[in-house]
Amino acid sequence: MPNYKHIKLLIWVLLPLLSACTEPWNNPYSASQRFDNTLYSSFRDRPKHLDPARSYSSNEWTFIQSVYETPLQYHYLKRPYALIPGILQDMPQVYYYNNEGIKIDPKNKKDAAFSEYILQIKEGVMYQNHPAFVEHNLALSDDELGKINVLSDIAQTSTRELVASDFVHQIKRLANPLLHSPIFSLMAERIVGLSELNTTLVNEKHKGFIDLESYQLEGVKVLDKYSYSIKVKGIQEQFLYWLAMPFFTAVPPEVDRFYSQAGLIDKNIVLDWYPVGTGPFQLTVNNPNKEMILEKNPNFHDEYYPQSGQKSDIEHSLLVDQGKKLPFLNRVHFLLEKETTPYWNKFLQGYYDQSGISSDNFDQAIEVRKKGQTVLADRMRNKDIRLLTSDSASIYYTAFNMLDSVVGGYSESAKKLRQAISIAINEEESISIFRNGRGRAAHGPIPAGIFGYVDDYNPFVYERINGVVKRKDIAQAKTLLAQAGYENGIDPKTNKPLVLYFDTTATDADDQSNLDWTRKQFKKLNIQLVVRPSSYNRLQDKMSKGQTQLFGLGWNADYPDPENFLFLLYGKNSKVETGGENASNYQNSNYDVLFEKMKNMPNSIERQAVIDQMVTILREDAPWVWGFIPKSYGLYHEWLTNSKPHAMARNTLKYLRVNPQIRDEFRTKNNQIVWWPMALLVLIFVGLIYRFRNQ
Amino acid sequence: MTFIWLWTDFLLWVLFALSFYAIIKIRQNDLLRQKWKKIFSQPLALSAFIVFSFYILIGLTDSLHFRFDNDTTAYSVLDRVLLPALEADEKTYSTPLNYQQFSKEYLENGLRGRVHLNLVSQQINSPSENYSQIFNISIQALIYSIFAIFILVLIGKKALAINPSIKINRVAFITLFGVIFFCIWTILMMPNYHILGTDKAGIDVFYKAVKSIRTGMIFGLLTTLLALPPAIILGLMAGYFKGKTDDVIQYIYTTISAIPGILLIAALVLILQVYMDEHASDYASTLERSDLKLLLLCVILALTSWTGLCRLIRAETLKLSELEFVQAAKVFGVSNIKILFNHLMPNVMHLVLISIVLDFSGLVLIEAVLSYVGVGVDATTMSWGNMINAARLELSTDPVVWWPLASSFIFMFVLVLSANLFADRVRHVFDPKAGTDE
Amino acid sequence: MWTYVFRRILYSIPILLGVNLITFLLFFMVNTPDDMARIQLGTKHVTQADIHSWKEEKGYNKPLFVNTNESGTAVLTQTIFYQKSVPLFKLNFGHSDSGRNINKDITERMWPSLALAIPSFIIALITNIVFAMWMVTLVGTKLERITLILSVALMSISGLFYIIIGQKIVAGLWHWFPVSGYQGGTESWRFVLLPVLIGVVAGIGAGVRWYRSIFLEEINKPYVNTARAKGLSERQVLFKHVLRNAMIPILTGVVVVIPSLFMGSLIMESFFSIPGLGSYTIDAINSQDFAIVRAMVFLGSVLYIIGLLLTDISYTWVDPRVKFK
Repeated sequence: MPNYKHIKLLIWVLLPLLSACTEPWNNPYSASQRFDNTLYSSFRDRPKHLDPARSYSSNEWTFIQSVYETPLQYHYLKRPYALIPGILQDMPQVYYYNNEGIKIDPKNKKDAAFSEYILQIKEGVMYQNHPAFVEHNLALSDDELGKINVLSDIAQTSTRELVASDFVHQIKRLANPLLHSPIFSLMAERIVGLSELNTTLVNEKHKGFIDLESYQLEGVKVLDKYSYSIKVKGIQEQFLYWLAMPFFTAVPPEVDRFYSQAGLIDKNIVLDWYPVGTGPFQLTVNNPNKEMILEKNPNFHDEYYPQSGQKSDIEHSLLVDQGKKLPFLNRVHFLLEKETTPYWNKFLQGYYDQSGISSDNFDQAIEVRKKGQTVLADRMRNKDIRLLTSDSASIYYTAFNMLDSVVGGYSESAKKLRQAISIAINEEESISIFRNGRGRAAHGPIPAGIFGYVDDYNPFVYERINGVVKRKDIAQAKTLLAQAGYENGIDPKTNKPLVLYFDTTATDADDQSNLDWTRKQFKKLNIQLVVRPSSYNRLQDKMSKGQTQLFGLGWNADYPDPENFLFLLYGKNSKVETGGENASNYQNSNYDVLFEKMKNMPNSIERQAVIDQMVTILREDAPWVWGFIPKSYGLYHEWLTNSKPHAMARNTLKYLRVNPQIRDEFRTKNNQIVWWPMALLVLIFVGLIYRFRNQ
Repeated sequence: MTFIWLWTDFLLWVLFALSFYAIIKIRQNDLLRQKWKKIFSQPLALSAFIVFSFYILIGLTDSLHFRFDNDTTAYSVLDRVLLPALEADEKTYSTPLNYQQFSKEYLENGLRGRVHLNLVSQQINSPSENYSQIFNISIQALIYSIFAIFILVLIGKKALAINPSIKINRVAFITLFGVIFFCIWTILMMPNYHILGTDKAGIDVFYKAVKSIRTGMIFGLLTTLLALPPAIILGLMAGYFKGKTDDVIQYIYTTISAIPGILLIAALVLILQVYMDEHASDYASTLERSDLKLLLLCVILALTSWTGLCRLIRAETLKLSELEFVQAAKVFGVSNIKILFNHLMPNVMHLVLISIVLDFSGLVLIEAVLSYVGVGVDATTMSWGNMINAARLELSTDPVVWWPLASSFIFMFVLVLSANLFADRVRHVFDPKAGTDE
Repeated sequence: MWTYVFRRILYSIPILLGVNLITFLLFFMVNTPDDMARIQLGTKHVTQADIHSWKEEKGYNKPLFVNTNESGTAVLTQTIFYQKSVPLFKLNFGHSDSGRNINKDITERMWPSLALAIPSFIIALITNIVFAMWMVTLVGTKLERITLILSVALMSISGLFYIIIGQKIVAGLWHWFPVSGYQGGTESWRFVLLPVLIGVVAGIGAGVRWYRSIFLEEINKPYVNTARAKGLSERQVLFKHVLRNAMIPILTGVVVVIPSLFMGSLIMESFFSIPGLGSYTIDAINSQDFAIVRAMVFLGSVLYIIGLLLTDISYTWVDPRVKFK
């Protein structure tokens, strides 16, 4: 009689293996999701805030802008970046007023003391279904609260129409002292009455919930059910861009009230965690330890894929879906992925639909052709992976503290020292080593793709030889250094090599090679660079006290306007004096005058001329080593379509489309188990047993 | 030229002096001498010890820092030895013993290809030329090392004539030869090649791996050294005085060991970081700052690791204090301090020794873990942990950049393995309980 | 027995008090509430007023130990130390500095940790004991020396290498397991398989040697020879007698760690993106959330003390000769 026990065991062992032949064994998702219309993505750090009044980070905005809608949004396909109405019917109307509050002609807007924006929202837009829209849920009994662990435990949900007062409510929330909104101080300078509202609320010493409906905000008024107005001080040409950010979305007052219940706060059920909006998706699972899931909002209003775009969009098949109703995805599944290696592996296995490229897996994905042209490596193309590149609206730079006695100041010798250092730091080499060419050396503060950028070169660092622009050689830098009084890098005061201090927040072991490289650059001038790593807070501290010499910083544009870059060097934004964003404390009265002039000009030839003058001043003074402008590279699997990188917009998930059938075929093909090591292991094991049985 | 004494330098040399003193003491004591002889009678332990001492030697040469008068950079003696590798100004990755860079790029002539490394002779332009040079150098090294070992044997013979009790051991002999060959080979290779390739910023990986030895050494040795005084003193006191003293000491070490070790370390390091951030201007140079951090890290580790040894010593002392010679000393009115240090302490020293050798490898290994958690040594300190931490990201490249990870692995593995093998033997000889199996 | 347990629990209170005081001193004396506020409030546009209101909100605006503005017992109770320490004893960890309820997070995150830790622990225990027993039967052979050196070699490799290589090759190249990630419920086993395997392999060197030394100590005792003399087979001797008697030293080492399994594995969880308490702690360390780190330190100490208690109790269960004092 055969031994059934062993056969049973064998079946138990083999069963999962057999089933693995049909479905990839290493699939990190549940088998039932195999053909779902889901996009798989990841997050590295859990979002800290999902409250639209508090969040100020682009990875949080990916979630926020899929759930909440803003008055304005960016056109998905058009370049340069253009604003179009989001939840508004049309672009806002602007009226100008003088000091007496009398409307003046837009032609004389220079004299305006206030400008008023009238915003008309779409009618019939419904919120996602949410417990807060059921009257009963606004005051749950202790008994009911006790049974609630996650938001979905509350069965009763409802919806209601979006109205203008919801937008007004959110603007009031910016002034709520308990929310610590990061843009409050910025907006208080602009929106009439915001700062007064904040003072009132602070003085009343609230703890917990503040019923904002019982307070008035002078500059922001509900006009009728579907329209409201915002009054700002002076002319704020850049204000429209802010209206495309989540700070100006709609938050219904009852939602605030609902989330103020102590029993819910104890369970971590708060607005900062469970957003409520009108957008194309709703956040159904928010487990930042593991995953976040956005699901299609069944109440989403009619919005359509853009009808037109750039010329190249047709050849990239970005207009296949023109005019179709959004969104295309049923679900977006974000998984926590701390490490880049597993992410990359899973992308190659087909478990993530898109991936950025870090410099470590660059060579695997990209081949650099002549003249720095990049194409996808064959092994990627064989997998039908596509590559999309785009300039990002950011700049990374090394700033000099202009108040420092060695590197700062505006004397001829100080300028020459800074210029010499600017030449010595070979940004091109840095980009090629640390970013594999994904970026370009900056010649001024404005990145390509932003108005005001000119494709010329910085004559203080580069020179044109035989029509080719090249970085000046190190001999010229040494000459400049000698002229600055440091012959061969020797500080005449100590008769030793000049020692400079570089503050950085790059403290990881991964950053170490970058710092080694930077040290090497200064060594070329025989200057000793001492790197002082510190936390971001400590660096901020040092910067505001002016205790730095050189430090590395980056800036991500808030909006695609040159003002958002040039203000980083505006004298009145000096970090030490006013706590502003001008961390190098650069102060040049000519520049400041031009800045004020440029700030409120419309994009035009005149504006360009002013900007050119400003950039020329900056290049000579060299308050920054101009650093580089990163280029972002994205890899997309074949089944993910309609993707076009956008440096400003974060609400782009609604345009994407996946084809689960193709994805499944890919996964099955690329995840066959490699059997031989297992066979080998079994063989060794059996061999060992056999040998020792015989001993 | 001025010498610079870093804190850890100083302590390492103190430790060296102490062990020298210990060797002299051991030579005077017959029983101990017998035991040590027994330790080295096992060939494996002897070769492990040779390898281990070689590491220590490297660590010590890296602990003599000086600065030239017209320079601001401080060098260690080891830095000067490794200077060619340090100063060859490569741009980015290259594989071990290669003459070209790892990845292709656009050359001056507009073609795409691999840049020739600065360190390697420009005459070498093909793999076969490269191999033949490597082969030639290796042969040279072999000849030199045979010569060196020959001289050693001659000297050894003389020593043998004086003291015939020493036997020449085959395994130890081979190990010694290996070490000598490695040294000579490295010295010959160094000016011509990046022995273990270069990393992302073009820095020699061999240099980094060798420099990391000192960090590993400091972790493994200084931590125990710092943990010894509290462990011995408190352990002896608890076991000898008993009663209230015992209660208090027991309370202290139970409390500390109740806190999860890695968390306590992490918390302490976090605080240390905040503190050092605030006082960043107090340190003259990067070297001093990272050195201080290294030392404080050892202090933190010592704070969390003295409890185990303390417990053992207490138990042993409890037993010892009941023995006649202690009781007798008490009766004769010998002072407590004298009893503690003259009578009891020598009798618990075997525990101390065992714990030093056993803890060593664990401490070297934990350095890597701490770096991963983000509470390790300063990022500017070269250590295996930092190397692994940076290298694990490189594994997703294709072709894989394996040599930084492999180098740190090999250097760390050899040290830990030799320490473990040696520790095993020491415990076997000194611990009466462990001595039963052979 | 219960009075003994009760006495032990009473004895552990001062230890927990000490732990509490130490962690409090660590976190609050050196790292001021102002620093914590700055860490939590983020990077852009933070004013002193913001910091002040944050401190008030989180209750960090009180004095550390003695509040001279109050009278009576409030002098001591209206302080950060009292307010932040006393709830810990009720295992009420309060809110993290970023505003989340820590207890809730812990109850959510303990399951993945346990799903990883318990199988790792049990499988490692069994394999280690089996291999150790096997090695005991090899005493004196050449194979013994080989296996011994092999196990020393295995324990000389940093755990990080096992993880990095295992993840890269077994999951990345051979597609045997998911590279990382975690799904709850019945599917969780697929995700913990590789980490468990790596955990077992990484620990096998040290584990086997430890058990082997315990068994060797037992096997040289006279009763084993008696058993052999009685004509029992070697297997019977090993399993029935040696293993039974080796239980006490095994228990001392093993039982004490059981409660601590709850804390999860710091490194394994973060490498494999398993949302357990280990990765919770690492996140807290990296984001400098001191409230969470403190809660985990306290929890760890409580679990350790429970472990000690369990060890003592289990002695009597294995060996009736041991009596409670």
